[in-house]
Amino acid sequence: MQLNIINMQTTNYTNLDFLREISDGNDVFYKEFLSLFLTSAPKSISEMEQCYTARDWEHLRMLAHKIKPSFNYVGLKELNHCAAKIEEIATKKIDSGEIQMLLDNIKSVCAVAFKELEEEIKNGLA
Amino acid sequence: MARIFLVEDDIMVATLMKQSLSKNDKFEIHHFTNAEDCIANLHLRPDIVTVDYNLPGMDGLTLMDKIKSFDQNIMVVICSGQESVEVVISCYRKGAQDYILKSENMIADIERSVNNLAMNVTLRKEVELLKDQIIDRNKYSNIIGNSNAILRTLRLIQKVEKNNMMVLITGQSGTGKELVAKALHYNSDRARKPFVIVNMGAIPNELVESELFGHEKGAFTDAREKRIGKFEESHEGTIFLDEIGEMDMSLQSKLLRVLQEKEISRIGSNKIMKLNFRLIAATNKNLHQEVKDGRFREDLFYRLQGFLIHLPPLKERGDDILLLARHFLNDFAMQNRLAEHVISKEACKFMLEYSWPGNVRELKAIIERAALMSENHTITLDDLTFVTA
Repeated sequence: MQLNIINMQTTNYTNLDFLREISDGNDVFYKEFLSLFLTSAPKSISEMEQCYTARDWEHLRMLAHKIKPSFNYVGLKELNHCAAKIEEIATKKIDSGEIQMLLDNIKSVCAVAFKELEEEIKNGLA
Repeated sequence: MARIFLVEDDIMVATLMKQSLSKNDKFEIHHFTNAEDCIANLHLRPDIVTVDYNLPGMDGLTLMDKIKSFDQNIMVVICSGQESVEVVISCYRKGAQDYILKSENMIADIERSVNNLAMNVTLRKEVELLKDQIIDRNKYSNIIGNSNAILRTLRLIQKVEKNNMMVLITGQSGTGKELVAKALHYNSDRARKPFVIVNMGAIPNELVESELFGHEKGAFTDAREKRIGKFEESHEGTIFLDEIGEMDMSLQSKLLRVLQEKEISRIGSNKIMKLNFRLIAATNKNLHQEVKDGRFREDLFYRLQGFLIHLPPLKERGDDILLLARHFLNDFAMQNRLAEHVISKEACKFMLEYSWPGNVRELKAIIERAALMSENHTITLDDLTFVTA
């Protein structure tokens, strides 16, 4: 079964309107924040996978809880919902394989999204 | 200016909060990733602290308790992913000023909340500043005058009257140093305890030590009876050492020890008494110069500089001269059952231009003499007699 959260699309996965608004023309902040996301998000996703493999539900719940809002900052709202779902399942500690699918989805979307963000860092606000 | 602490372990959230709040150039922002670092920096006196509910180590609510017990006035905003009504209510009950849900709008909500609270902080600071500037004239009815110089002095008195600081009052002879010392004592928590005045210039050198510290019977040839010294008399109250610049060098070192240890022993006794007094000292001398000239101990000089109140000479007090003149005139007329007197325009003009080397004391003497000399209940220029030293 494949979760149909992200549809094939030609437009960007990421939406940086919020970040552009809050940057208020501050290119340094804009690029730094994107770099911060690109450093911390892969690390968190990898940790979530490890926790899931080890069935460390509490740690998984915490990681999902923490990464949830950060997807919003770069416009990956669908991934925010995925993380929320992982948090919910990890809280209940009853999983029928749904978490793995959610994690796979997050990883595949991020693979594209990260490239978009790397490109955005090169271009900056201008 | 508002000082804001952000306590948030999520670097991305903290970075966004900092960026969002730093748009307001009146905010000074400090970020801490844990409660312990925040507590260690509370001495910086933040106005507002945003606290993550789920901090590693000490949690957000415990941190809020610590912040509030440090200073109840620090405003706390709790940021949390918890939507439970019970959690929200418990945060407000424990003293949070606001509760921000870590939702999509969190950053905008934080910005709005902190901006609103900062407005309260600004208003509170303005009120405190105004309170500080308002002088309760009823408390200082003995100190006559409305000049800027005297109002500045009253503000200083108001600042220091309630605490236990040592105060040094300086100013020319006759400027009212004793009045200020009394105002400090009678508006302090020690008001119902003794106010002991010692004029260092009026006591012969050989008696000063006994006067200050007291003596036991037989301590020296003339010590026929036990005597309680002025320091002992002032226990729990205030001792006012006037003309401290006249104090003998050897006594200065003893005074320094008393001020450091807050204990004395009577001459001829080994018994040490712990005392609790507040010291107010006054001098018309330039103590700094006295130190330079080797007549005053430098360590005592610095010890006395706890809080300095300098009284302006009368000639710098402008219209206060006439206010004081009328006050002394009315007092004198009442005490001597004289009719109400007025002061002629010429006499007023002259008094305003005169240099008053003897300050308020001189003004009082001249007005009282003029009241006796005047005819038709009007003090004219002819009634004012100035005596030059």
